[in-house]
Amino acid sequence: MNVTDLAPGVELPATTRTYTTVELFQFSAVGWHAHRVHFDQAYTREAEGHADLLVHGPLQAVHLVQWLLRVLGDGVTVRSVSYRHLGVLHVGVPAHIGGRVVDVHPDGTATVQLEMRRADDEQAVTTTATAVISPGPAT
Amino acid sequence: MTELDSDLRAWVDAPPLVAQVRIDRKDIVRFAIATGETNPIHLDAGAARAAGFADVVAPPLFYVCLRTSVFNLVPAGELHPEGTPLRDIPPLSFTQAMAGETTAELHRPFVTGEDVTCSRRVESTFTKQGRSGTLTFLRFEYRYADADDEPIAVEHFTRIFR
Repeated sequence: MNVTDLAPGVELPATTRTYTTVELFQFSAVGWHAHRVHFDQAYTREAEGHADLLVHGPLQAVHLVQWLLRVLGDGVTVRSVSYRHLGVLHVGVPAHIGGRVVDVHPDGTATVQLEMRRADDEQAVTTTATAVISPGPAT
Repeated sequence: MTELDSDLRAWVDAPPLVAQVRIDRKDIVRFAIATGETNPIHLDAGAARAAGFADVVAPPLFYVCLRTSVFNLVPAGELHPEGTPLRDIPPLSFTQAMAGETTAELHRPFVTGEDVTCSRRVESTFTKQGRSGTLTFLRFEYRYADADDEPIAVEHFTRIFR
């Protein structure tokens, strides 16, 4: 897909990702992030009452932006991004990643709405994001 | 809106946390590997130079790991048993802490070898009566600036305590 294909309402080609325990560990490690709900399954179940380890909210945001840049062939720059976490995503649960163009502005920038949701029976949205992108690589 | 109690007021009004770090190539490459990045400008200095950069550059949301790797770097005794720094927990009684909206302005990529000043301050705070009791909103600003104090990334992050 090319940046010139962007127009309001255009759906971006969706994908699916399933997080592994190793990915959660590595992300906790690079961020020196010791919150146990991301690596200690017994604690997460017994003390916090979750079904399994939780995928970090910021990691989901990272992957929404990464997917957007892959779809657009890295030919764009992300100027700003806003995101909210609306529900939990457990390790091992497939997640759907998709998005659509909200608006294309006269200056060439575009606003894109991105979403990660559980692709299991729950179908619940876990993270939404709005990114403002501009054509051309980052400098 | 209600007045904040004095302990919370003092916590909110405390001086910003400031830390200075040099971005190593390995910081960026580890983040890139951990997040499944495949664009070689985030992994390989030669590819980054061929693309016009001085060295390996970070993916757009690199700051999310910079934030925690800088501000979570406290002695083990200063962590809550759940694993988060005690100093991040405001002095108020709550049963649940929730992440609100995060907004980040991304001015340019972080580049290998640069010195970055990371700072965190409470931008604003307010309380609201919800159905389940009082909600306290704390809005933080995290700023990452280069040697000329020009912003590289600025994040606004709201936490909600119930």
